Amino acid sequence: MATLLHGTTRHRAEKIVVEGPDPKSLGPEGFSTYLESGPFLFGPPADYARKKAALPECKNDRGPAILAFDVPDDIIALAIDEYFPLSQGLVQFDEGKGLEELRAAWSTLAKEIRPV
Amino acid sequence: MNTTSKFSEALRGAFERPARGVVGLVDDLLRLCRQQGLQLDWQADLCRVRSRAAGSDEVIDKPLRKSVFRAILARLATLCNEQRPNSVSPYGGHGTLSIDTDPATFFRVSFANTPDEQWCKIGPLAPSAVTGEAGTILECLEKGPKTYSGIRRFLYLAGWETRSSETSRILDELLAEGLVELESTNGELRLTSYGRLVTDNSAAA
Repeated sequence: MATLLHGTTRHRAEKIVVEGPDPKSLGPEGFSTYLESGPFLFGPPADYARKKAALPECKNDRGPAILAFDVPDDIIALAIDEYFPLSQGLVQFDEGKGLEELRAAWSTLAKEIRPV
Repeated sequence: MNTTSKFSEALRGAFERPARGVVGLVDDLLRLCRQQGLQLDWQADLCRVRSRAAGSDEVIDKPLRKSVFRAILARLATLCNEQRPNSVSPYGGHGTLSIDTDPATFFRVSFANTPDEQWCKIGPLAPSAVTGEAGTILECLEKGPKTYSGIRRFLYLAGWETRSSETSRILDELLAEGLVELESTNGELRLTSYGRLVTDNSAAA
């Protein structure tokens, strides 16, 4: 089990907590998360949250937030491939790469929204 | 095997056999950019790479997940911000970077990484590292008829805009960032980058 972080806005984090990571709203870019332990070779999630909250389309999203949730290792393993080895710290859930399994387990996962 | 096909093979290898994930792929792309500028964009599940190998444009289309391409752009943004904090947003901008394995070589990067638009342009900044069919930048400039066209040639080989209307704007940005220095003494114009002479009036005569 590992804790993953997703930097976003508070409104979007609350929506994901209730609905899970929805492929319809995520689109082909999937669901980008980071190991809480790092490394953060693609930038820290808090930076993403701040920058996203600053976008005009997110002005009513009640500021930045980090969605933290615990995911079993076997689901994380589905997201690992030659482009996204776990050593990079980025766990990228795409369709066919663990996103469906993550959604199926979503209601059972411990999760919290952290302020930035 | 000519230089162009070697370059294409190396480029394809970087995408098809990433040894260290996206981080290693970006390092490989930057290593390849020491020789010529690259332009990458993503559309309809294809990553299109345009290079200026051996003085001519070359295009490679590579099937790639959108998430991989956006991770490449995110890594470039992180490297720019490591070079200069807050110089770019995760969603786009332009900045400079170097990599640990080759800290003496700097690259110029511009990119957009939004849900609707994903592209980047990467070019080398160190003139000595920029080689093409005609030789090094300095050799190109020595053959060049005018200082201004020499600067344009420098910008072209470095992978930046080539339209003349863009040249002064880009040059202003490079000057503002301290990446090049322009000096006018007794009517002679000298452009230097990291202490290396890029062009002057006497060479352009």
